[in-house]
Amino acid sequence: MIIAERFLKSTSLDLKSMKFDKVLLVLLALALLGCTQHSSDQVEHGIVKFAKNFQIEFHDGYKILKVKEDETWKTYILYYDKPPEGVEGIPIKIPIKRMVVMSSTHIAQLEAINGTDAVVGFMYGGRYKLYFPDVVERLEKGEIVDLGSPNAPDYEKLIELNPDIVIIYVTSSNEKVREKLRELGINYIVDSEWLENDPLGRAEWVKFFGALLDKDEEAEEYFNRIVKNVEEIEEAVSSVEEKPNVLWALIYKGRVYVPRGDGYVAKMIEYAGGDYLFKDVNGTGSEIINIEDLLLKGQKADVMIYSSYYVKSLDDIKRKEPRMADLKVFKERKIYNITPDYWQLGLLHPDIVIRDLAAILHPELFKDYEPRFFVRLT
Amino acid sequence: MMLEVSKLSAGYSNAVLAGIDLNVERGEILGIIGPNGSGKSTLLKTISAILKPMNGVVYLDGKNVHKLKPSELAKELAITTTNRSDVGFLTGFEVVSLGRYPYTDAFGRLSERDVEIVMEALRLVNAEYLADKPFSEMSDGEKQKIMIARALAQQPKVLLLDEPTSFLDAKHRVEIPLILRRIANEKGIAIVLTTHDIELAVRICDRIVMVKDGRVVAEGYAEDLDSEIVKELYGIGVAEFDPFLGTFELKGEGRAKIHVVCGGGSGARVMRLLTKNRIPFTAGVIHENDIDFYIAKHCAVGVVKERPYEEIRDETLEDAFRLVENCDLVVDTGFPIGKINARNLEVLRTAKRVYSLRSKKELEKIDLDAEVIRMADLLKICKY
Amino acid sequence: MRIKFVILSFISIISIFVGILAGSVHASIHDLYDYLKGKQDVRGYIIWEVRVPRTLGAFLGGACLAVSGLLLQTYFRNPLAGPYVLGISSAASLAVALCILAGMGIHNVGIVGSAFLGSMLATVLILCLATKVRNAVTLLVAGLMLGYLFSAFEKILITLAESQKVHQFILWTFGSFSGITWDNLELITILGIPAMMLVFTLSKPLNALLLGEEYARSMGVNVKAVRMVIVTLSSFLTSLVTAFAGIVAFVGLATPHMARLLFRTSDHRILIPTTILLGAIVTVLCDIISRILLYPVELPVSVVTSMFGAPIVIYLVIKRRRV
Repeated sequence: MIIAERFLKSTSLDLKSMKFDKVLLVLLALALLGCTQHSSDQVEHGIVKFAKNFQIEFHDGYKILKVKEDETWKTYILYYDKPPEGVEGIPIKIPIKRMVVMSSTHIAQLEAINGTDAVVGFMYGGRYKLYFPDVVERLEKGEIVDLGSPNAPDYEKLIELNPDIVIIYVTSSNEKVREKLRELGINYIVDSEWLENDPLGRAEWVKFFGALLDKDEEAEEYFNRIVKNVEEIEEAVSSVEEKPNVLWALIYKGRVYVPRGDGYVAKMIEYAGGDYLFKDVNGTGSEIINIEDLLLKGQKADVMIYSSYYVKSLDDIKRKEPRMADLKVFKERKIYNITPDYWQLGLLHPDIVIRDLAAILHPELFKDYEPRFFVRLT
Repeated sequence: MMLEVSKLSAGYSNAVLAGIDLNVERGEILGIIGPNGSGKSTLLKTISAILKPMNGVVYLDGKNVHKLKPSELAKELAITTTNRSDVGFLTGFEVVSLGRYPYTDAFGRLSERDVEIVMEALRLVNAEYLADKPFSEMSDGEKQKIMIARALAQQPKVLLLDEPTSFLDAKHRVEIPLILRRIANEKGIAIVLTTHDIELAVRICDRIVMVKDGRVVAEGYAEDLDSEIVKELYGIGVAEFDPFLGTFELKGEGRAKIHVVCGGGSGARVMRLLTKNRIPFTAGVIHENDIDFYIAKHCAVGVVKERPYEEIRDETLEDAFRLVENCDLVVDTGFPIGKINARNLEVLRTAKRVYSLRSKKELEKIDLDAEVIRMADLLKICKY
Repeated sequence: MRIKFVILSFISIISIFVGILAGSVHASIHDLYDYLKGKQDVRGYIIWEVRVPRTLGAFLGGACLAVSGLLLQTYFRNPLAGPYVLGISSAASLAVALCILAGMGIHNVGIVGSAFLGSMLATVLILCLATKVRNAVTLLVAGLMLGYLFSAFEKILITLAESQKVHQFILWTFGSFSGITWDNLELITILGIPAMMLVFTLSKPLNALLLGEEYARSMGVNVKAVRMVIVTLSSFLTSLVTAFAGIVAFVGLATPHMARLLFRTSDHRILIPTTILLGAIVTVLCDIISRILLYPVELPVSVVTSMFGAPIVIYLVIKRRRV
C-alpha cells in the first residue's frame, strides 16, 4: 500500500503519461475495494489521502474512523454486530439508519452517496434556501424533523428522534451544544470538511459518510471519479505556459475579503491552471485587505471571481466601489459571480467547479463549455 | 461643653476651613452664619465625621468624633443636610424610623419602645399627621420636619442642621425655628445650624458665629450683633442691618425731593415703599424711640430726630423746615397726634403741596390743607 | 401585603410548572413522575433532562439579575441603573469576543469560563475604583466609562472578524437559556442562592442608603464597607448569569420597579424577596415564549424580555404615575 501511495503522489505531480496513470488509478481503486472484502488482520494503512482531518482504517469485521475534534483525535470503532474486543475507541454500530445533521454541507455529502434517506433530523430553522429537492420535500412532509438553529436546537425533539448519531461541526461558539449532547448521552461525531485546504480533501469526506452508512464503495467510486476529473483538467491545462492571473474577492463596506494562499480556493485555482494573485498570503481562511491593496494587485488580474451572488451586474460592482471600473478585468468584462447554489451543490461537485474555473481561464481548451457555478457579469 | 471644635481645618483637596474654634452647650442653639461658599457646609460635614479634618479635633461630650465608629457616633450626633432624596414609597413614619438605625436589630425591626420614640419625635416637630403620608407627596417644609424628626429619633445629644429653612415656604420658615427652640428647651439637645439668613439666626439662636472665607470673623450673643460686622461679612452696600429691628433695611440714596412726616409706626410702610422703588426722601421730625425712626435711619437720606418722650424743640423744627423747603412735595402718613409731636403739624403747614393718608374729615378737624390719597396712589404720585 | 406575597410565591411555582410542561414534545407531569420512579420513559426523560434544568436555570438566573439590579438602583439612587451599568456585561462580552472572534480563548475554559473570568476581572477593577472614589455618582460614571472602553475593544474585534463568526457572537450577546445542563444548574444554585441570601442581610443598610450616603453614614452605616459588599455581590450575581446565559436584557432594570409598584413599598425587607420572585417568574415566562414564538427557531431571550417587558413597565408607570 505504501508503494501505491507514493505512486499516487508521483502521478499527480507528473502528468506526462496520463493514460497510464488512469489505469493505475483504477487498479488502485479495485485493489482498495478488494481489500475491504478480504479478511486481513493486518492494520491497513488509512485510505484517506487528501483530507487531513479524518482517517479510516479497514479491519477484519470493523472499521476504525479517526476524526480530529478541536486539537485532539477521536477514535470511533464502527462495528456491525458487536464491538471487537481489546480495541480502544468509541463504539458506533453501523450502518447508521437514523442520522441528525447540522449543516447543508452534510446533506451535500450524503447526496453524493445517495444517503439522505438516513437523515431524520436537520438543524435547519429555515435560515437559507436548500438546493436539494428531495430533502426539501421530506422536510415539508415532516419525514425530516426541523430542529431549529444549530446554536439552540430543539433537544426535546432530538431525544424523541432517538438518532443513532448526530453529525456536528465545531466552532468556538457551540461548545454548549456539545456539552448538552454529552449530558443527554447522545452520540455525536465531528465533520470538519470545511477545515480542509484542498478541494479534493474536502470532497474526500464523502468517505466519512460512506463509512458510517456502510456505503464505502459508493463513496470510493464517487471520490475517485472526482479525482479523475480533476486530474484530467490538471493535465489539460498543464500545457499552458502563461497562467492567467486570478482575483477572487468579496467587497463589503469598504473591506475586502480575499482567501488566503494556503486555503482551498487557492488550490482550486491551481488545479484549474491559474495564478492566484494573493497566493503568497499565508494561512487559511479569509484575509481582510483594503481597497487600495485590491486595486494594486487587481490591476494584473485577467479574471476575477466575485464570491457572492448578491452582486448581479458590473454596475453593482461599480456602485460598491467605483474605482473597480478602472481595472482591466472590469473593462474586459471578465468578472464572474457565483451562483446561489454554489455553496451547497458546488461542494458536491468540486470537479465541476474546477472545470468551470479552467474553462474560464482557458476558454480555448474548453470550447462549448458553459460554466455551471459561475456567471459572467455584464 | 457638649460640642467643642478646636483649631479645625478641613476641606476636600484644599483647606476650605482653617483654625475654626467653637463650642456649644446643652440646650443651646448656635448659629453659624456666613455668605455662600464660606465653608459652612464643609464645617458641618467635618463635625459630623462625614469628612476627615486636615487639622484640629472635634469633641462631643469629651469624645473625639473622628475616633468613634459610625454606629456609636450615630447615637450621639444627628444631622440634616440640604440633600434631597427620592425615597420611593416610604411614609413619614418609615423615614423617621430610619433614625432608629443605630438601635434596631440586624433587620431593622422596631420594638415598641422604638415606635414610641418615633412618635415622640413626630410630636416634637408637629408632624404626627404626616406619619402615614408618603414622603414624596409632602411639601418641602413637611419633608424638612420629617427629616428633623428622623434626626431626633437617633436620640442625639447634638443636632446639626445645614440651612434648615432655606427654600421653605413662609409657614415653615416660621414654624421650624420654633420647633428647634422647643427641641433645645425640652430635650436639652445642643443645636448647631448654618444659615445665610441673619434675620433667622438672630431670631432663634442663642449665640452666633460668623464665618467668612473659612475663618471665624466674629462670635458672640445674638443680641450683641453689630451692623458694621454684618456689613463687612456680607459686603453689602445697598442694605444695612439694624440690630434693634433684627432686619435688613435698604439704604436710601440720592437727592430727596420728597419729605415724609410720620411717627408712631405710621411711616414704616411708606418709607419702605419709597426706598424699594429707589425714590430718595427725607423724614422728620421723628422721635428716637419711634419705630419709624429706626427705619428712617436707614431708608431716609436725611432725618430730623427729637429726643425720646420730649416735645419738639424749636431748633428741631427749624431743621425740619429747611428740609421741607428743598422738597417738591410732602407726605403726611396719618400719624397719631399727641402732645410731644403736635408741632409736626406746623411742618405740614409750611409745605407747598401736602399729600395725606388721613380722611377728609380728619383733615378738616385738624385744619390742614392737603390732598387726600390712598396708599395705592402714593407711588404714582411720588414717581412723577 | 402578605397576601400579595403569597400569591406571588404561588405564581412563581406555577411558572416553573408551565416551563416544565411547555415544549415541542407532548409530555406531562405524569411522565415525569414515571421517569423519576425509574420507568424508562422517553417523555419523562425529556422533561427531566431538557426542560427542568433549563426552566430552573431561567428561574435562578432571572432572580439573580433582578436582585443585582435592585442593589445598584438603590445604591446609586438611580432608577435607570441595571446589573450591567458597572461594565460587567461589556467585560464578559469582550472575553467571549476574544474566544469566538479572535480564537484567543483559554483552553478548557470555554465560553462560560471566559465570560465569567472577564466579568470577575471587571469586578476587581471596579472594586479598586470603589475604594478610591468619594461618592456613589463618581463610581457610577467610572463604571459606565469602563463599559464603553470594553465595548470599544469588542467592536474592534467585530470589525476584523468574518461575518459568520460575528453572527455567532452577536447571538451569544442576545442571551439564551438553551442547553443548560444539570452541571450548570448545580453551579448556579451553589453560588447564586447564598449570594442572594447575603443580599437580604443588607436590607437594613440598603433602606438607610435610600437617603444617600451622607445620611446613611450619619445614621451609623459603615458606608465604605457596605459599598464594597454591594458592588461585589451585584457583580458576582451578574457575572454568574452572564457566564451561562449571555446578556439577558431588561430583567435587572425593570423587575425592581415592578416590585416597587406592585407592592407599593421601598422597604428592602419586602423588596428583596419580591424582586427575586418576580425576576424568576418574568425570566421563566420569557424563556418559554422565546421557545415557542418562532418555533423551531429559538428567539434570544433578551428579545422577548425587552419586547414584553418594556410595555408592561410603561403601563405600570402611567397607571400609577410614579416609579
